[in-house]
Amino acid sequence: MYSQLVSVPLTLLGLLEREPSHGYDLKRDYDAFFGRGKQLPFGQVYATLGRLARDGKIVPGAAEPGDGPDRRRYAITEAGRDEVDTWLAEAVEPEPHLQTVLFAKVTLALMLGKPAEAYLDTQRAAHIRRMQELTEIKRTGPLVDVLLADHALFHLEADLRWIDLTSARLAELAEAVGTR
Amino acid sequence: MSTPVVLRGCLLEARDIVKSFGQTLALRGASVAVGQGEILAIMGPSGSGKSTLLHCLAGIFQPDRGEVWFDGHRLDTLSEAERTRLRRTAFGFVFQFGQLVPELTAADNIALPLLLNRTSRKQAYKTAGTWLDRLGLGDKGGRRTGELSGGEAQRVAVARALALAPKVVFADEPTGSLDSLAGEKVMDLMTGLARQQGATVVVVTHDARVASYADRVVMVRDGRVSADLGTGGAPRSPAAAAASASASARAVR
Amino acid sequence: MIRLGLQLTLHSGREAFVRLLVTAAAVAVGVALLLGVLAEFHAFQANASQPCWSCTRGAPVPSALPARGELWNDSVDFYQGQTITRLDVAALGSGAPVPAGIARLPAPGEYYASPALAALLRAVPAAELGDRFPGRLAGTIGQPALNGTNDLVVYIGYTPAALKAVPGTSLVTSIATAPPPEVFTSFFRYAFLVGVLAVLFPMLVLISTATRLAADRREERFAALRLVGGTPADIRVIASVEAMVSAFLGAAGGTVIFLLVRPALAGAALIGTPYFESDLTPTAWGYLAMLAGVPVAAAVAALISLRKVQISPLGASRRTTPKPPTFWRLAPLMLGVALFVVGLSATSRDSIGAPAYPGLLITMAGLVIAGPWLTAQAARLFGGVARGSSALLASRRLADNPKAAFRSVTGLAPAGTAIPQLGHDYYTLMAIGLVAAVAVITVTLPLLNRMTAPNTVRFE
Repeated sequence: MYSQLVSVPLTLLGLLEREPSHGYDLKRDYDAFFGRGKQLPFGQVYATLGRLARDGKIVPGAAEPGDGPDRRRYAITEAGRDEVDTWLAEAVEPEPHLQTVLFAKVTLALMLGKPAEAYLDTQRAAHIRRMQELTEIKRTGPLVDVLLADHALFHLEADLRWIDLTSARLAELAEAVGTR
Repeated sequence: MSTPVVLRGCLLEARDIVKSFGQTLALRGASVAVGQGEILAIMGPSGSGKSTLLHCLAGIFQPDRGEVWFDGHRLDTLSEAERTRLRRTAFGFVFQFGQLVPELTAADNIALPLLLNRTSRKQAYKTAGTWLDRLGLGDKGGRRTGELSGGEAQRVAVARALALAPKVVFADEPTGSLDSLAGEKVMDLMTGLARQQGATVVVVTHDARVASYADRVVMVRDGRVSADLGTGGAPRSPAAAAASASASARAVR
Repeated sequence: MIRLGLQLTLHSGREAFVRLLVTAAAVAVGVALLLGVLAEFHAFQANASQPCWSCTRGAPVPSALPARGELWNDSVDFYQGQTITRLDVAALGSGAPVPAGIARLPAPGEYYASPALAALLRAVPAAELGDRFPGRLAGTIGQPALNGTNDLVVYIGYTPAALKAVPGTSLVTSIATAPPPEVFTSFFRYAFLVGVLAVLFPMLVLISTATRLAADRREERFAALRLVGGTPADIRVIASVEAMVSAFLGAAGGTVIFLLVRPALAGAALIGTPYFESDLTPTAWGYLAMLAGVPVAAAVAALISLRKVQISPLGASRRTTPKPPTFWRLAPLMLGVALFVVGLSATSRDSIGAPAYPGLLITMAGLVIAGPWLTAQAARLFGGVARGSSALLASRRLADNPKAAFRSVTGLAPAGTAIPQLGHDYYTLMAIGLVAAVAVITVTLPLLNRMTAPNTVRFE
C-alpha cells in the first residue's frame, strides 16, 4: 500500500543522492519519473531546494562562471542521506480512499431501506468496465502506460474484493444499522 | 491488434439449466448466451456454480433440466460419443491445472486431440510445432510438460486448445496457479490468438483482472446468472486510452 | 489408436519405462517358472506313457520250441549301486518281434547297450563289468526303450537252445506296447496341477498389481485423454496396449530364461533318472500359451480394472469408502478346509492323496476370497491395541479398505498353502523362489512408483 501523494522534498532529495545536480535537471527528472503528466513548477523546485539547504540536508556548490544566479549544483549531505534512508525504510500508511464514500452510501441505503446490493452491483460493474479499459490499454500502450495500468488494476481489484466482502456482510450490516 | 467485437448471432446458449450432484444443487436455472467471436467471463464466488455452468456449456455434463444450444443444435441431448467428438474438433480446454499429461512432451500434448481425431501424425506434429512457436515455446517442444514451469505449461494448454482450430475455447481459472506476470502472458496470448482465429472464449474466474480481458462479464450467484456486468474494453485511440488510464489512476487515489 | 497406445507406453519418459521393465521382469520370472512346470509335466507324461516293454508277459516255454516268437529272460543286475536292466533274448524264427529301441534283435554273441551303459563299459575295466555280457557291443539302444538318460539297459542275444536252459525264461510272441499301470501317476498329476496353480496365482496377481500400481496416475492420464476427445473405446485400446507390451516383453524374456535353464532342469528328475532334454519341452502349445496367452490375460486384467472406474474428463472422482467385506466371504474357505479334511480321511493306499486335492484347491481359492474379511478383522484387532499415531493410522487404513490392502498379498496366500503340500525338493525350491519373487516385487514396485513420480504439484 502506498501513500497516494508523492512527497516532493523527499523525492528531490532521493534524486540528489544519485548525483549532485542543478535545479533544472532535478525538475526534468522529477517530471519524467514522478510527475504523471503534471509538471512541477520551477518555483516549487527552488523553494524546496532552499528549504532542504536550510535544513542542512543539501549544500549548494560554488556558482559556476558564466551561469545565471540559479545555476548552482546542489549536493546531498550526510544528514540528507540519513533522511532518505529513513523514509525509504519506513512503512507507508494504508490509505482508505473510496471505501469511505461507498461505505457511507451503503449505510444510508440500509437505513432508508433502499437496495444496497444493487448499488454495490452498479459499483462493481463500473469497476469492471474500467478494468476492461485498462486491460485494453495494456495490450496496445507503451510500457509506462502498462505499468500505470497495472497499478490501477491492482487497486481496482482490491476495491472489488472489498465490495464482495461487504456484499457478503450486508445482512450483518443491516442489523447493525437497524439497532442504531 | 484487436478486432471489433461483432456479435454475429448467438453461438452457444444455456437456457434455464438445473444441475445437481447428489444432494447438492449446483445450478438452479442458469441462462447465458455467448455470441460468436465474443470473449465472455463468468465470475462468481466459489460454490456459485460457475464451473458447473461451464461444464454444461461444454457438454461435459448433461443438465438435469434446461437446454444447451450450440451452433443452432441441441448440445445436451447429443450422445456421449458425439459430445466427445466435439471435444476434439470444436471445443478447446484450458483448465487451472492444464490437464496435460505430465509424462508426455509439450509437442505430444498439443498433438493429442489431433491424433485422437485420427489426423495423420505428420500433420498433427506439424501443427503442434507451429503453435509452439506462436506461443513462444519453440525450444520447449521436446520437454515433458511435468518439467515445465506453471506459466509454460499453461501456454502449452492454450496451444493444445487452439491447435484444433476450435469454435469455442473453455477456460476455468486458467491463471489460478500462476503469478501475475505469467498469468498476464497466458491471458494475453489466449485472448489475442483466439480473436485472431475468430474463436469464441468462455472464461470462468473469480479474479477480476482475468475477467477484465473479456468483452462481457456475467456474475453467477447461488446457481443463477444474476448480473450482466456489461460490455467494456472497446478499442480506443492511444491518446484517449492514455488519458483514460491516467484518469482511472488518479480517480483511484 | 494402437500406435498412440504404443507411443504413450514407450515414450512416457524414463521413469515410466523403468516401471515397464520391472513389470516385464516380474512377468518373466513367472513365465519361466510356468514353462518349467509345463516342461516337467510333459516329460513326466512322455515318460509315463512310454510303452512298457518290460511289462511283457510271456508264456511258459514248451518243450518243443515253436517256429515263431522269441525267448525272453529279463533280469536285473547291479553295478556300484546302479541298476542294470538286462534282457537276454533269443529269436525263434524270422519276424520275431523287436523290443523298443533297436532295429533288429541282437544275434547270438551280440548285445545292444544303452548310451549310459556303453559309456560305462568304455570307462570301466572289462573284468568288472564288460565280461558279464557275452559277445560284442553291436549298437546302442534308443530313447523309446529308456526312462532317462542315465538308464543302464542291455539286450543280449543268445541261441534258443542256450536260453531255454536258463530258468526264468519265457516265450514271448508279442511285446507289450501299453504304458505301465498308473500307480503314482495320478498323484503326480495333482501335484503338477497344484504346482501350476501355485505359480499361476501369484503371476496373475503380479500382473494385475503392476497394472494397478500405475493406476492413480493412469486415471489422470485417461482423464486428460477424455477431455481432449478420447472415447471410452480409445481408452480401452490404449490400456490394453500398455498392458500387453510389458506382458509380452515379460513372456519373451521368461521364455529365454527357461531355454537357458532347461539343461539344468533335466537334472531335477522326479523318476530317479534325468529326463531326456527332448522330452523336457512345454511343447508348442506351452510356448503359445505364454507368448500369446499372457499378454491377452494382461490386457483382460487391465480392461477389467477399467470397468470399475468411470473415467470422466474431469479426472479423479471423489473417493467414497467402499463397503466392508461381509462374513460370507469366509464360506468358501471353510468349505475348502472341510473338504480337505474329509478327503484326507478318505485317503487310502490306492488313491494316495487324490481325494484331498479338490479340498486343497478350494481352500486356496477360499483364502483369496476370505482375505479381505480376515484383513478387516485383523485391522480391527490391531487398532484396538495400537499405540502411537502411525500404528493407528495404518490400522484405520487397513480397516477402511481391506480389499486394496489384501490385494498385494493375494498371490502369496495360495502359494503359501501350496508349499507344504509339495514334498519334492524341486517344487519346494520353485515355490519358495516364486513366493520370494512376488514378495520382493510387490514391495519394491510401490517404492519405485513413489520414487519415480513426476514432479507435478497437485492441489486437491
